[in-house]
Amino acid sequence: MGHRVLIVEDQDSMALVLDHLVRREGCETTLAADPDAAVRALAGAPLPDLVLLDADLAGRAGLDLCQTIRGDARLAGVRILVLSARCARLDIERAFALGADAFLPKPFAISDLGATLRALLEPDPLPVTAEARHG
Amino acid sequence: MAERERLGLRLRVFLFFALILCIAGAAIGAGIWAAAQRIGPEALPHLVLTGGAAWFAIALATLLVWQKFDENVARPIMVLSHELERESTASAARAGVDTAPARYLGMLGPAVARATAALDAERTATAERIATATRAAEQAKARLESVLSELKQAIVICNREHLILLYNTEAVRLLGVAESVGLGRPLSALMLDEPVRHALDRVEARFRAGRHLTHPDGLSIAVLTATVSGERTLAGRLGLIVNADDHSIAGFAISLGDVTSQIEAASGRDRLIGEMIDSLTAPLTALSAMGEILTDPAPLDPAQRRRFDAAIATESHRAAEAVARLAERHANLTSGVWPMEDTYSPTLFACILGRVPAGLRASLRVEGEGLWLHAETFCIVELLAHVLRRLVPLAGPVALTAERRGANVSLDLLWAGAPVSLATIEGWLAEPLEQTLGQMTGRDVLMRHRTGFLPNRAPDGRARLRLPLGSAIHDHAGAPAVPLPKRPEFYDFDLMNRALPADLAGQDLRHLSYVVFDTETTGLNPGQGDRIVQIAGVRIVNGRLLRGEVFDELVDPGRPIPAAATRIHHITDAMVAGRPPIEPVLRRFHAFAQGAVLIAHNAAFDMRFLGLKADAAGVRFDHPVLDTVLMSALVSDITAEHTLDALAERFGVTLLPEERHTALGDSIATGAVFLRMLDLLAARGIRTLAEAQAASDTMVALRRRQSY
Repeated sequence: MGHRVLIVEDQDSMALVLDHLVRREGCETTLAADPDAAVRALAGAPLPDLVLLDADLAGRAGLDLCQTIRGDARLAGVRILVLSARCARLDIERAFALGADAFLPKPFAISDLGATLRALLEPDPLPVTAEARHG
Repeated sequence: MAERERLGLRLRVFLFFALILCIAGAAIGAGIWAAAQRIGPEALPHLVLTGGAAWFAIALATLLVWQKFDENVARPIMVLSHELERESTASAARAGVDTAPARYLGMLGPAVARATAALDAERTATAERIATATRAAEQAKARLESVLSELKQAIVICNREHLILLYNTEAVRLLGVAESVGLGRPLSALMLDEPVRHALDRVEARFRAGRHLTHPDGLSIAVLTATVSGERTLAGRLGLIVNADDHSIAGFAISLGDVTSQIEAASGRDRLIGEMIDSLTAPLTALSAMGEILTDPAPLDPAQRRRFDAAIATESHRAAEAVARLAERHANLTSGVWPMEDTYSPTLFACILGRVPAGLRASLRVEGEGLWLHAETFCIVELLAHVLRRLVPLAGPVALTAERRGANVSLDLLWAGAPVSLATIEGWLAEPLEQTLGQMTGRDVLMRHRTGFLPNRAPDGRARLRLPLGSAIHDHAGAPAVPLPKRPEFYDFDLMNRALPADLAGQDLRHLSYVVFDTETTGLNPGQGDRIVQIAGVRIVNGRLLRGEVFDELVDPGRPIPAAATRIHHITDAMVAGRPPIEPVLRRFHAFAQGAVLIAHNAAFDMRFLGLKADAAGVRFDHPVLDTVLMSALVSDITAEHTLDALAERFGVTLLPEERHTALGDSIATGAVFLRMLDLLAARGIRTLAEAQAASDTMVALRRRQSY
């Protein structure tokens, strides 16, 4: 597919897993361990097509980053997939309100992550949520 | 009327007879004069002689009659009337009236005797009824006192104005600051008043609508509030007190317990669950994903595989650590929620003996000294009874004893013979206990107490099964944590009938609340750096000096105490070392004096020292102030001395030698003097606070003029 994906994840094991899974989908990956590193990665070119964002970053900074990206017109084409263990209805609604394109509750099945990634990186993807699929 | 009575009955009778004599004399004189006119002047000497003799005879007869009359009528009547008068004013029954002198007064004597006897009988009966009623009241009071002081619930009773009428020892302990708990103090000084008012409004509405008759809670309602400091959360019930006669609301009673720990435990459990989700989700998410990846048909390259293996090890370890941490927190939580209490080991053993079958009891023996320990007694009794039911058939006679082990107390079961294996004990512990809630096992009880059985041998060679438990939280051997007076004047129901002191000025001096206080200082000149080293005070409520409600604190003045000052108040640098500085003490004293009129001997001096640091302490002493020096000047003559010693002597106030010349002792003396002055002040028309203050101002002006 050749898409570029920025993975924002501060836990090493999770970063390893996500990196592996995203590469397996045929994407190039960049890793950022904190929101600052993510902002630096988004400042240069080429821009990623998708940001895979762990909302449970230390200090709950994940969703703030989501808002930062949506506030930058240059990044309008970047898709955001939010991963979070906090998956009450309110948490999911908030993620979408802050600009997420998809939400995947943790823990997740790797097939769900692959499907969501593929759906988001289709030429004209419809917003898809694993939540919606699980009902 | 009064004039006539002053003359007395006997004198009046005498005068009456003297009048008869005068009239007889006048009649004889007139007869002599008439006869002399007829017969001629030559018969006059003869007539006078005869007339004189006749008058003399009449006088003798009159005197004789008067004397008999006086002796048998006038005097007995006087005696009887005195007897009747004494009888009517006597406080106790007296010996019968002597009616012998009244023997010629017909039925009067016996009638008086019967009347006085009846009065005496009635008086004796009344005295007995009063004594019985007083005894009953005293008994009821003593029972109330002992019930209240033993209750582990804080009880506070207030009148409609939210002024405290009654409180118990537990209220002082639970509500913290002893100086805030006091008769006649506002409830808001102790706890957040708003929830109480809200509960009161609701239950009052229920009462007015008559719904309390059918409501399951009647006149009581749950209330949740907190101490003023917010440190403790209090839960309990509020009950409305209704006057039986007119169905008006007299006040309310609140019983409260400290639920801080329960609420903390409940919120702690919620937090724990939240943290469990947080701390386990991350490693489990990674692990489940890695598990899936590793079972994927597409193989990983060796380097990738090694990284995954390392990550799996790390995340598994993290998950295990999180679980261990959470388990420990959970154990702390459960043991915190349990109603643990201090208990005495002999009591506990007696309960255990009561819980085992009679046949088993013969094989059990309690030995050693009693120790205090901290446990949930019901479950520990059930657990040990259960273990003994299993152990005795195996081991034979068992001794129960308690032993101190450092900070813990262990309950030991000792027997001659072989120890029991851990596996056997584990088996017993897995069985549900007979009487506990639910299907609780011995293991659950041990987990909640965070302890377990240790089987080993005692030094004397006997087999031992040891159960370590916490030692008592409170010091049951030493003094109680909160020193309280032996007979605290803890209640005063008269306050129930008192109106809100909205306008202190017009209040009767007898009904005001006072704090009589005294300060000791490093010297006499606050302007030159002299400071307070001690503040003491005592409350007066409804005309009673409450020795149970005192404030007495030493203060570190932050400078050395001159030897000259120490000679006066005997407070040394060593005594104030480590004491709080003035600011917190002033705040506490301010709280103690809230709503009261301040009284001091030479108040201006003490007020100046209080005012000096009031700003720094963030309080204002804007209480009305009365000065016993000025009061004394109002009620004594101008030359009298007004030192406290002189006043104490003049008003007959005696203090224990050790109380004299201490800040607290002087406060108590000043208070006692003030109370005795009230009558003298009233005699001078000074009855209200406004009048007392106006008179004091006049006295201040007068003294100022004298000093010029």
